[in-house]
Amino acid sequence: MISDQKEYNNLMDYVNTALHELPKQQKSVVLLRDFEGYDYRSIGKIMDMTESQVKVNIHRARKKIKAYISKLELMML
Amino acid sequence: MRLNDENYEWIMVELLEGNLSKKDELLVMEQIEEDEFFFKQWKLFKHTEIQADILVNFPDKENLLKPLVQSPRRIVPFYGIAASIIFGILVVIFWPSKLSEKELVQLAQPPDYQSVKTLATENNEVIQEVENITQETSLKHNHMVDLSDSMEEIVFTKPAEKTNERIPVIEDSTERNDKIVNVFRDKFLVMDHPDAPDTSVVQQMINWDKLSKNELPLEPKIGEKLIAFVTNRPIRRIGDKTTNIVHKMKNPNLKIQPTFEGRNSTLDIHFESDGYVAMANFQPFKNKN
Repeated sequence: MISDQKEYNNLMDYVNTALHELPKQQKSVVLLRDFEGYDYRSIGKIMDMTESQVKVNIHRARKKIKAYISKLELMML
Repeated sequence: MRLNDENYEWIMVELLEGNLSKKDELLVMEQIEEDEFFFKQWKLFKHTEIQADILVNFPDKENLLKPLVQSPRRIVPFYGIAASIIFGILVVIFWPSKLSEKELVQLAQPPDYQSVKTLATENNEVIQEVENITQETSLKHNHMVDLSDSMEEIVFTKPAEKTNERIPVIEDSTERNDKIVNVFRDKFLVMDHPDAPDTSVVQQMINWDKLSKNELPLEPKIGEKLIAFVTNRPIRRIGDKTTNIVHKMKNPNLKIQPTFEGRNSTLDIHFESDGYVAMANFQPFKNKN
């Protein structure tokens, strides 16, 4: 249980590290989406983007984070 | 919706974002559970979702929001329109209306003078009325001013020099005024009295066509001080009475001031004798341009 929590904390650290590696626009979009829970339209108003641009940025950000996490897992293995 | 190597990332992100329908979600989840590769990739995508630390709270976070910038209300045009309306109303209310002749006479006349007011009708007939402003003057000379046609009567209180001269009537209407003025100026002493008012108290319009071609009769009355000179008759009567008055006055002061500037030329006549004054202002050339 403790190891799972520790693993989870490590994972969150990775994710946060990966988040800071993102371009500013992608990072802001992901934070607004996950932390604040805004929908695409609200994020678009805040970021002055269209909904499609928000969606594309979120996709690209998640793929980069996923790639970062998978790279770390490979290194840990 | 089938997962393959090219579209699984897009579909998994859509699933993670909750953009798929329930039917598609179930279909995609079945495929993920059946395939180990897709399952592993899905697990990684699940970790890309950022989760906020529950322990970290930001109370009063609403205060950090940038206040909405409201477009400034167009106050200036509103007040400008209101001020313009008010100014227009004030102009309409306080605009100096054209004073009637009666008001002009009242403003112009000295309080101690007995004044004569004349109003001209459309027929150029002179309608006159006399106001006895100084009640003491009227009582002193036992003279009640009549407002009828008999206002041309002249009241004298002291004898004056008698004369039988006659003033010829000038034939040409355009030259008549100048010649009459010259006659008055030559025959009578023209003086500028310091107390004489500048403005006339009589507005009178003369119909020159009604003038008689006869000579002006001179029938001087052994009279008294002049206290009033009024007439509703044409210029012949005016000249007649004026001549009588001047000849009967003791130490008469006569001032004739023609003014030919502007459209309406005027002829101001001012008499004074022992403190009693009669004034007349003629506009003989009105409508004669």
